[in-house]
Parts: sequence; C-alpha cells; structure tokens
Amino acid sequence: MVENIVLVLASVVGTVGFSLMLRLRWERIPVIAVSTAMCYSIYLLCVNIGAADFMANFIAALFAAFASEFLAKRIKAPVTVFLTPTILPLVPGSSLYYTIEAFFRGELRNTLIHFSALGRTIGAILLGIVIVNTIMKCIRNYTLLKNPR
Amino acid sequence: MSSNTNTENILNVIMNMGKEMLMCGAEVNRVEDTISRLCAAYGLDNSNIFSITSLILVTVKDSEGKSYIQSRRIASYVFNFYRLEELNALSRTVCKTTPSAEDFQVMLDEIIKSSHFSKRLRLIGFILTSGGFCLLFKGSFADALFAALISVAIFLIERLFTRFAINGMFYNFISALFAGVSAVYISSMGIGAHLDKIMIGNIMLLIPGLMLTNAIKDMMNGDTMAGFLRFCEALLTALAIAIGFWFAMIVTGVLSW
Repeated sequence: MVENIVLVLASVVGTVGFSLMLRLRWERIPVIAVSTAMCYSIYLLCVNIGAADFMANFIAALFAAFASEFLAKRIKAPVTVFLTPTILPLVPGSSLYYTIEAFFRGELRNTLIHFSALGRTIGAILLGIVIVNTIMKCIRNYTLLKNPR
Repeated sequence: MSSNTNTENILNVIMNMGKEMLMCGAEVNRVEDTISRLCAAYGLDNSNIFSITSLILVTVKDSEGKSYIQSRRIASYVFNFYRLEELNALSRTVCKTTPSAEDFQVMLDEIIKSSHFSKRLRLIGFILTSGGFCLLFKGSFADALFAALISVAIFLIERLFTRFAINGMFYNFISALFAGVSAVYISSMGIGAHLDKIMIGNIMLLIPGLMLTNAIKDMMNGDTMAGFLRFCEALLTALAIAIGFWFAMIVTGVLSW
C-alpha cells in the first residue's frame, strides 16, 4: 500500500515537471496533478486485481482521454493541453530502455520480450485515445446535425 | 483601401497565426480547422487548406472570384502549451469580432511576446520529470537524485544546442550519450545506484510520446501524410536515443567493441 502511494506521488511529480517543460498555465497544473493521480491509481488498481499490461494501460488511457475531453470542454482549452501530461506516466520508458539494452547486448530473446511489451503498451494507450476521440467526434457531429448553427 | 489588399492582409495574418499554432505543438487537424473558421469569419467561404507539420498552404477565393494563395514553411517547433491556449482563445474572439488585419496582427504579436519560456521553470521541469519518473519505474531515492543531477546537464546541453541551432536528432544523440556515460560511472561507484533506473528517468525527458500521439491522431483524422511524417520523426528520435546510449556503453567499456 505504502509502495503504491509512493508510485502515485512519483507519477504526479513527474507529470508536474513535464507540465513545466511544456510551459502550461499555472491554473492547469493542479487539475492535471489530480487527473494524473487518478489515472495512475486506476492503472495500479487494474494491475493489482490481476489485469495484463495491455488491459491495465488501455483502461487507464480510456480514463485519461475521457477526463481530458471533459476538462477541455469545461475550461475551453485544447484537449492536448490536458491529455499529454495526464497520459505521460503510462508511456513505457522502461520498456524502451530494456529493449535497447538487450538489443545492443545481443540478447535477441530478451529484446523481443521487451519489444513486445513496448508495442503492447503503446498500442493500448493509442487505442484508448483513438476510441475516445472518435466517440467525442460522433457526439459533436450529432449535436451539430440536430441543431445546426 | 481596395478589397484586394484587404483580403491579402487578412490572409497574411491568418497564416501567421496558423504557423504559430503549429510551432507550439498543435495537431495539424486543429490548425486546418482554425484557419478555415477564421477564413469563414472574414467572409472567405471558399477556402482550401493543406497542412503538414512543416508546411501550410492555403488558397481562398474572395466574393469577386479572385484567388489568393499563401504558404508558410515551419522549420522548427518548441512545445509551448500556454501560447497554444492563448492562440486558441484569440481565434475564438476573432471569429466573433472580426477585427481589422492590423489589429489582429497586434493581438497576435502581444500573445507571442507574453508567452516566452522561462529558463528557470524549464530547468525545474527537467529535474522533477527525471526524478519523478525514475521513482515511478521503481528506482530508489538515490537513483532519482542522480537522474535529476544528470537532467541538469541535459538542460545545459539543450541550451547550448538551441543557441547554435543544431538539429534535434543530434541533440537527442548527445544527451543520451552523456546520460549514458554518467549513469555508467555513477552506478559503478558502488553507492547502490542502478544504471537502468537512472537511464530510464532521463529517457523520459527525451521520449517522443507527444509526437507519437499527435501522429496517430492526425492519421485517424485522415491526414495520413502529416501523421506519417510525424511518426517517422518520432521513430528517428527514438533511434537517436538508442544509438547515443549504445555509444555510451561502448565508450565506457560496458559492451565490448
């Protein structure tokens, strides 16, 4: 439990740091910190109840994308502003590292293992984002059809 | 003033705006959407817009049927979401109020002037990002501390490279090389630091995650070409990181020649 809390805190620290790198508005940072903490908690929860890495990342990415779309709608800012920092803790930096390392050490078996983990994670994240993006677009087009400007 | 020069001027400012949006990290789709909305607000309904990450090309027809063509080349971009938000808000107000071209340009310049990067904030960002993600990927507190130290050096490398306008590929290569060499030496000092955890913390600074998501979004929106270009860029960045790290392992003798 303590370990998980440390992980969630670490994800928030990293995301806040990245938000500063992207030069976000100050007002956005607390909101993003909360949504990131929730996103990563969902990921950890999924992992703890035994979900495979694809499913855990997919569900967390779905949450992050929905939260970002919601916030963007409320605050009237581009979705990217919220989505990029929120999704960041899911980005598989460690798989990328281990893939590179195993490849250059010539351990092809390990390379493939890490590379497939990398592909699964990236695929899950992208799938989550794309699904939410498409749903939102459908809703927008539908409302435009119903009451055209 | 004749309506010809007026349309020309309006289009000019709209293009400047599109360029700024692309440069601070908007998706191609959003830029095209904004430009077409702005054109429509100024009564240029018949607009054809084509944009990829390095070029915007717009043709509009005014009410008399005369065509105007303008293009913008985008050489480099730095993510700046503050500016992106301001530009987004500006496009909303301009669509409602349609100011003159001069006023529009003044507003645009104001936003660009007021949204510059603060170096100190960016440095803090580097430190927090590398330290935080080092912890997140199960590194110890010592690892996080060293990752943060190395990130300061990466920040200085970035400053140096932007001053001499050296391209991003080489920056990623040198940063990964430097981070790799320092991480190998720190971890071999026998103070309980782990090479892999320190490196992962620093890789998260360089990783092209934003580029990749933008690329896929562009492709899903039907901008296959723009998405593909960005995708290639993301892959090249990852490759530069990999080669830099490999070079570091060879230089320090972790790997044999």
